[in-house]
Amino acid sequence: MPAQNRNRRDLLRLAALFGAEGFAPWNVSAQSRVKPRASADAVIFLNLQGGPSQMDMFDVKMGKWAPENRDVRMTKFGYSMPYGFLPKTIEHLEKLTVVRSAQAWETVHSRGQYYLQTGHAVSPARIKESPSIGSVVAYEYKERRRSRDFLPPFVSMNYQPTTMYGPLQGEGCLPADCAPLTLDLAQKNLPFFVEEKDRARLLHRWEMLQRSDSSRAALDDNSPAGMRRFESFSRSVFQMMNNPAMAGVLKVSDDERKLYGSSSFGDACVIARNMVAADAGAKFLMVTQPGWDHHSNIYGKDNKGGLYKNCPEFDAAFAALLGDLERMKLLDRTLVIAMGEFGRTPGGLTPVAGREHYADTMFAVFAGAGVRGGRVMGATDAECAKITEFGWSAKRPVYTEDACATIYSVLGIDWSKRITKTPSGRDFLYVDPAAGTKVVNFREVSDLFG
Amino acid sequence: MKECRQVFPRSAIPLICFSVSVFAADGELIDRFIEAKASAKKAPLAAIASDAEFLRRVTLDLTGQLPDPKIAREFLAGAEPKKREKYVETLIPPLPSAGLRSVMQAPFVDRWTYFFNDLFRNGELLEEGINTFYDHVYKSLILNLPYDEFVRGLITASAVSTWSDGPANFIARSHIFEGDGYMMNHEDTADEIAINTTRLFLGVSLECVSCHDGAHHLEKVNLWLSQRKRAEMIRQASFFGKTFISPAFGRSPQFSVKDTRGGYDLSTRSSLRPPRDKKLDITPAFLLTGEKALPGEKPREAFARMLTSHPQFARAAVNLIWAELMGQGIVDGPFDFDLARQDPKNPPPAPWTIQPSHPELLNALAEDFRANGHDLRRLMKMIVSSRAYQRAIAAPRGWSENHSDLFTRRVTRRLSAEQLFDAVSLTAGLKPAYKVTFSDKKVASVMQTRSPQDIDKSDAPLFRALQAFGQCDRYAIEADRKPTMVQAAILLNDKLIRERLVVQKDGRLEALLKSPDNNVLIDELYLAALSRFPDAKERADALATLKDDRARGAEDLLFVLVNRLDFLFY
Repeated sequence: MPAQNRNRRDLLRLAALFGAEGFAPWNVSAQSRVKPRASADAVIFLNLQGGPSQMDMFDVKMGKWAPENRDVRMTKFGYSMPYGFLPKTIEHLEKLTVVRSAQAWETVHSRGQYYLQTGHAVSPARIKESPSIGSVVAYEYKERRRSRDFLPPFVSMNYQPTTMYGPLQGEGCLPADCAPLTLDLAQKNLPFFVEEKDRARLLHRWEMLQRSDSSRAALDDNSPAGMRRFESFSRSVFQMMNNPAMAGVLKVSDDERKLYGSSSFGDACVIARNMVAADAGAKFLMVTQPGWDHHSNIYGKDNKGGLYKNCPEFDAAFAALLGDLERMKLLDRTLVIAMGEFGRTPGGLTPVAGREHYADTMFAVFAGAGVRGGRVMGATDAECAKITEFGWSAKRPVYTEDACATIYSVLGIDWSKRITKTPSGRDFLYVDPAAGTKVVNFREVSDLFG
Repeated sequence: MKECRQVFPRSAIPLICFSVSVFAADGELIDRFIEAKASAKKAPLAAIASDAEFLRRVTLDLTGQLPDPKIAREFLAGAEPKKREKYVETLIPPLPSAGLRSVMQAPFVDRWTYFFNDLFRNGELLEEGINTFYDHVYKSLILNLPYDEFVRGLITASAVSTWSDGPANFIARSHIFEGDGYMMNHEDTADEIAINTTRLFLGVSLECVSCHDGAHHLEKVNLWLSQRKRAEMIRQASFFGKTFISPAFGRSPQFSVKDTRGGYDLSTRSSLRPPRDKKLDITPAFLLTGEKALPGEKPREAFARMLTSHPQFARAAVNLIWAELMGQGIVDGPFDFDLARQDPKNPPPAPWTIQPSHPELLNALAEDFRANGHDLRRLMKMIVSSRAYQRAIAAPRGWSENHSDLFTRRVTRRLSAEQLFDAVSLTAGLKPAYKVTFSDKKVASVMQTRSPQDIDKSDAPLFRALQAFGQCDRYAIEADRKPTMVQAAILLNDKLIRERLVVQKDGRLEALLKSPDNNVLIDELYLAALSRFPDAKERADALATLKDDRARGAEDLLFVLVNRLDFLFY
């Protein structure tokens, strides 16, 4: 193929990948100046799906309803933690700010998950067009991508779309390449992982496809947009799969698996760590741990099930992740957040020994990227029913929107921006100052830092 | 014909009455509007697609499946006049003159049952109701029930149990629970039924005005809806105020649907929406006309009557089918109608413009649909016999993005999730068996499954792959043909694809490798995948591939075929 032609085709591919559907940057504008912190190269967001029990974990409370072996004791930082449930995490408290004054807006899983993933209230007219946090990050990082970056900016691991929790939120009205790359670690055979024994044949087939697919060769700027986009996706995917480093990114050794708690959540945390360490363009990594919706038998039976299943899985993976990131000198430039879509009802258990959904109190945990460790922010009453102390300068609860602004800030993204050209005609604000009809003026939780 | 052309510019209506007898179900009605507008806009027309392109397209669109290589050979070789029209007739099953069993195996019916089941969100939440609902839709399509009658049946259905009685699942599917997830919220449910019926059958989305008036919200979104009030939406919902959906025999989701409630109650607390104004007039009134029920007429029957007799009902229906066959609606999307922007004689104030790309065509199709007994098959045949449907994917000289809503060129789409994985199985010659949930039945294609959970329970990796390719989950995820990176990765490297494309017992490759003739093997694979013979370069390339290790080469060839862009897009 003549060189000139080649260049033209590459440009077209680039256009298909990055300039899709007339979505030029002029559609995004900032309304006021905020100063992003830019203290992180990546964010790992641990989505504790179902609503973890704040009063058994990071805002632990005493009560007749609780088993003794939660082993609640005072830590050296002057606050109590359940040594029975989170022993390994407790060893890393010097890296954590534990926010006890967080609050949710929703008590229905799907709506809460939507909130958690997009930082926005559910509006039926706008569900389809609103991008998730990861997609906004992907969009913002387009122009900063380097030629050696082989990982997509937004990766979601282990989120299973279900009737109860709703779909994984994607790119909305943003271009298709802002969509999440999804990995399901419960599935043993990841399509991105090429075993060495299969590599030569894949390469052979790829070359054959490039050579003999006349519909590929015929692509030009009048070709259907979907075909052009699919072709550019398959090139990036092939580049990613064929990159020798990719196998390393997706590899979880037996020792690592054990260290991270021998669960698919732990495996995903290893891969998240690998992706951050690869420094290959992955910016927002959401890892979901399902199973926190403990409506009954929250303490399981015979120290099994309920929190006895979820907490050890979380504890091992979270502690190992924090330890590794620090050891690899990555924690300073990586924000790690763990939170669910809401909290659980305070006080005694329900007749079926569980807890229902609860919005007024919940926890959110932050580490890395300049977050000052070893402390709690905010406080709740004796049963976790109400916030008694906000513990930060905004003098109100910390909301999902604030966490969202914090994510944008550490990644150097001006969170006061808005997308002005949406299908509904209404602006999409990266962080909306109003939650539904209530104006809160959300902002970065700057008190986490320094 | 000539007379018609002269009549046409004066008024659409006489033409349509005339067209019933003269044009039967041919596409001339469509093409005169499409080509007149193209000419006015100086938009070049794409060439008519080749026989192979047409064959693959129309078979996928009408039946969801690829044509069999044998059919493709015959069709490509055929030289008789009107062979495309004749082929279309073979895809649509005859009416069941010998009882339902005579036409029970009809890919056309499978595909359109699947289509309506997606629209009606017939899925997991209904449990055993999935099958009774499925059977009802299937039978209605086999009988080619007039669409208005079909819809009236859904809206007015009552049942002691939706697990025994199919059509009432349609209403039951719209139930809304209280925040606690156990009790039904009656008024929210009535709102939801109004929203769903108005969306599906009038093409208008009421979500926004179900919480607040359109004013100060929708001025930039939808002119007609910006003038609607929440009160009007509630009066539409009030037609369902007596309709009581409750767990049958004490266990949901087996529901009973009966008209035993007192009516819409403004004082109940909504679990989804801001409080309702308690002083509202809640006399049921049809949103588009303000019409009320006749004395003694049951509210649901009144609603069904007004709905199906309103011209917008037919307009929404033909636009929906048009969008499914043509790749985009005359009003696009099909549920985003702005009713204040439909009539070219009565244009909206600037900067608004007329919404349909071809308003006269939409009206003409709708009139034809009404005048011919709301006959879905007739409508589909008319569309696929048009030149507009049969235009090539390749752009004509002088093509511009500005022409993209003129239907002067095929709107190319990726195969749907279901089409794609059925196409992979068919090309590889596999006969999968997916178990139908709550039944002893097994089916051989994704398009025949009753709901996504059939695949989830029979073949979990395939279920995940279908999701990755945008399968509708009949709950929150709508069917989607958008390409993603994961899709590309699955096709290139997922075990699911790789293991389907190896030489295996009773597969196409095994059968073809028995013959020593490589040309036969290559022809058959191309016919199976692309409904055409390979060109000289493709043949030479394939022959080279088969030269060393024949079986391995054949696998590679099959792999390359299902990864081709012209396999994935149509």
